[in-house]
Amino acid sequence: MTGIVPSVIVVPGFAVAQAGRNVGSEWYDAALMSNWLLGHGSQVIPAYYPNSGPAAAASKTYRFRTKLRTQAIQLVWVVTCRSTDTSLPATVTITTPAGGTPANAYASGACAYRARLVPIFHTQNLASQSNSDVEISITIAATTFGVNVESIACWEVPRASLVQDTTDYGIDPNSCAQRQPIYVPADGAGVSIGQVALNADRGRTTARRAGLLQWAVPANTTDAIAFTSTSPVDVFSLGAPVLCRKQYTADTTGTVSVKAYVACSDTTSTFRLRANTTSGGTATGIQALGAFAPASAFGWQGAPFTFAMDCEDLSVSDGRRSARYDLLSFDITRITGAGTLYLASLSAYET
Amino acid sequence: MTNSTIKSFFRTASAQTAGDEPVDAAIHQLGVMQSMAHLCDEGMQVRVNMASRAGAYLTHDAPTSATAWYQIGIFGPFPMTLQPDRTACLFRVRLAGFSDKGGAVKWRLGVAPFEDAVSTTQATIDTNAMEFTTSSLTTAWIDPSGPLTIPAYYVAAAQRTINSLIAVGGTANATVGITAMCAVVFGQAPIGDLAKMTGLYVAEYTGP
Repeated sequence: MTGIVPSVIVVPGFAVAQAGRNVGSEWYDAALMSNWLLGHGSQVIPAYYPNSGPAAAASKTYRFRTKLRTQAIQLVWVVTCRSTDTSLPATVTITTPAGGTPANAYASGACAYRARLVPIFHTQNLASQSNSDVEISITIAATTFGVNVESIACWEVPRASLVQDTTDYGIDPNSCAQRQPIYVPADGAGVSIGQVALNADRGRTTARRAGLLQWAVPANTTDAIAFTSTSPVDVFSLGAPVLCRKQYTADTTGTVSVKAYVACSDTTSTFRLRANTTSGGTATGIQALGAFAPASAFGWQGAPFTFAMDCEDLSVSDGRRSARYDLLSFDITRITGAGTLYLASLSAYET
Repeated sequence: MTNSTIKSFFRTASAQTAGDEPVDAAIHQLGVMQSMAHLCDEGMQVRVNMASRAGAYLTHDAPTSATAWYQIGIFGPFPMTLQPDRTACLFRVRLAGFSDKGGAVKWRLGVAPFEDAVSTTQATIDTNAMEFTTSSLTTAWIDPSGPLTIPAYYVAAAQRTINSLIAVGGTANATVGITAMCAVVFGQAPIGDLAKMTGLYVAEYTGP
């Protein structure tokens, strides 16, 4: 048996693991819990509203920045589109760029105008496994009529089983069954209680929230948001709710990473992107993420900006640490020069 | 309720899990099992987080009836997380929007399987759906009346199987089960008015 991934969380009976008791079947459950934790997949792009789309016989590409789980080998994209024609449906074709040869490279579907929308699925096979900071993207092409893309979402496909190696770190649960030997194997061997213990800390970094807030429009000067003001201008009409994951007992905040996909009409101009958090905890206030000078061609702006934001309080149902909701908003200010900044993507995720 | 009773990750020294170290039950209960259970609790996912640029919104058809519900948008399907007893996770939700003309407008947000979300959200408010109301001309977040809870019959109805590659770069697939749920929003407005949505948040959690 390999590192089979259960479809639900498997939680061992904690009371069994007590001093004076023998090591029992709870470790079998612990191995399954480890496999679920590493293999169940995460929501990479929470569904959002792009409010843009390709015209007839044209295509538009949406780019996002994130860190996938090492165990992820496939992504599912879910898209809804609405025809811009007043009476007829449109047809779209969805593709993903380099990154393997998708088993089903194309998906298409009719997009009704003002009727109930039907989600369109597209599965992307990844070329390799990595938890590096990467760009993922999707291209939507319209044929007969243009479309307005009304939602884009992406999630990692749950694994059926994890390989017992130093990439997947799957565990054979039979190796943790009652009367099996207890030892610490080489990390990645995927056997025994020792591997469960090693994976507990590995899960702390693997189980980050890969998608807290994702927003992207096609990278061109028409679809992107333009900024020229020397005073702060909000990116969104309202802040978006964000809660980081809680790690250690004393933690009240988590770390959010942000990357922007931008271009500028004048490469001598500099701009400042700020994150404004309204959470009542220690991450309150406007946080300057730094000035940057974007290039004339669209590209991801340098290393991710990072800042602290409230983490979830698991003792209350709304997760808040104060009476206020935890909202994250952004504004952009032109610091020097006379150029126009074009913002096409903004990605916030845990690293 | 949370699967971890201590609700956090428990630090252990790496030497405590090294070779030839005795298996200490307390360390392994807290350091391994409770910690992983906490990570499972934190493995709940943000399924929808819609932030709109200035001036952007989603709305519905011009109403011909002030009491009819019109679809505004559908988000998902996504693979909802199930608890150990196969019940659904809970959902924290919020919705932002405004009234186009100042009349009292409503939204109904439901989380359900695709085919059920559309019909049940329109007809009745079950525990998996919630109404939001405003007459404000200015966009703002509207607080929910509580979390969304998913009835067991929707969990059962949402069971799907999908292919999952066995290895990266390979062609062989295994079948995995998911609980495919959607978030669907309908709007209701007086004739001549529109319910305009500018933000939506749907996030899983285990419960306190």
